[in-house]
Amino acid sequence: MTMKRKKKIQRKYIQDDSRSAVLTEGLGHYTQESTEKLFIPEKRSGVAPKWHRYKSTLKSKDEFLEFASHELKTPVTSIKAYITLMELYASKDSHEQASSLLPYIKRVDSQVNKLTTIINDLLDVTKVQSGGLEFNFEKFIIDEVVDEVIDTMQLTTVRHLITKRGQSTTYVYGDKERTSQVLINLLSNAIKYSPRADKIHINITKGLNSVSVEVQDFGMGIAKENQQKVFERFFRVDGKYKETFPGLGLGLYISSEIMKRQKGKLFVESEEGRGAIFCIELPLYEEE
Amino acid sequence: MKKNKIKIFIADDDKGIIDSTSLILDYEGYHVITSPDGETVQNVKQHMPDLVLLDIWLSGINGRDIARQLKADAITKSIPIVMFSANRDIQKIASEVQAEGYIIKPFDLPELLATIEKHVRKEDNK
Repeated sequence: MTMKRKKKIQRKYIQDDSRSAVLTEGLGHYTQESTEKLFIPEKRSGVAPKWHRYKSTLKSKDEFLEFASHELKTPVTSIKAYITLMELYASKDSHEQASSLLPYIKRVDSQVNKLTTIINDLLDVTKVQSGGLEFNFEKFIIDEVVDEVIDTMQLTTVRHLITKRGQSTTYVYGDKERTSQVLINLLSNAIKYSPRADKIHINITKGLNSVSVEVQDFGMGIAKENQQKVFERFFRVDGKYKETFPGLGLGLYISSEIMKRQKGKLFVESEEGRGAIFCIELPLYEEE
Repeated sequence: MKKNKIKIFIADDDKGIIDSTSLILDYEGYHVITSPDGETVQNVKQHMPDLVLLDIWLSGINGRDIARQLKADAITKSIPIVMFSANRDIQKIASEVQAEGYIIKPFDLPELLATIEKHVRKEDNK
C-alpha cells in the first residue's frame, strides 16, 4: 500500500474516532477500549478494517445501552422507594384526604413497573446480541413458577380472569427467574392483545421429555404470515391494528432467545380473530 | 429482639437510594447506618451491624471487593451481606463473593423486608 493511501485511510479512521468519542462521551474506560479498536492495522483488501469498525461500533453501542439501562434503574429505584413510603404514610393516615391518594399512588407504582420492564428489555436485548445473557441453571417445579406469575399478573388486570389448568410436579431443568420472565411476557401480551376478552387460560402438560406451559388468550390472534415474524426483534403489529398497540417489539424476541438457551422451545398457534396460544417447553431434569 | 435494635448498614453511592431506603427501613423500625463511599469496611467494623446492604458500583470502589474483605476478616465475616444492585446478574455475583443474599433494584417493599428478615443476624448468632 502506498504511503499516500495509508495516510488517507488513517485520516478517515481518526475522523470516525472523533465522532465516536463525542457519541460515547461520559463512558469512561469503555470509550477508550472501543475506540482503540478502530486502529487495527488494515489489510490490502480493506475488508478487515471495515469489519473491525463494525464490530467495534456494535460493541460500543451495546455497552452504551447496557450502561444507560443500568443508570436509568438507579433513579427508578429511588422513585419506587419514595412511592412505597407515600403508600405507607397514606395508608396509616386517618385523614380522608390522605387515604384518597392511595389509588393514585398505586397507579404511579404500576407505571414505574412498566418503565422498569422497558429498561430491562433494553438491557436484555443488548446482552442477547453480545451473548452475555447470564443463566443460573437448576432443577425446579414449573407449577410453582406459574402460580407466582399468575398471582403477579392477575393484579395487573381487572378484566381478565387467569385460570390454570393441569399440573406437573416433575422437575424441569432451566433458569427459574428467566422462565418466570418469559411467562410474565407471554401473559402481558395475552392481556394486552385481548382487550375485549375476559379470560386467559394457562395449560400445563407433562410430556415424555418435557413440560409444556401454554398461555391461551381469546383476542385478535395473529395472521399466519406473521406467526414466525413475531419472534423477530422490533416486530410490531401490522395490518388493521398497525400503530394501535404500544411497545418496542422486544419481549417475544428476548423470550424466544431465553428458551433457546435453556434448550427449550417457544412457539405459537393462532388463527386471526380467534386468539393465540403461546407455548413454552422445558426439558425434564435428568438425574446424573 | 425489637426491630429498633437491629442495625442495617446501607452502602450505596446514590444519595436518592440511601435516603429513600433509609426512610423505609426507619419507618419499619430498623436502626439504619449509611455509607456513601469506600470507607465501608472501616465503618462496618466500627458499627458491627446485623446486616449489610451492599451496592456493587460505589463510585470508584467495587462492592465485590468490599464483600470479599468483610468475609475474609475474622471480626466481620459473620455479618450477613445482601448485595443490592440493578445488575440482573446479581445472583451470580452474590454467590461469587459469598454474600448471603441479593436484591435486584428496583425492589418491592415486601421483597426488601423478606430478604432482610431472612438473612439478618439473630441475637443467638452474634
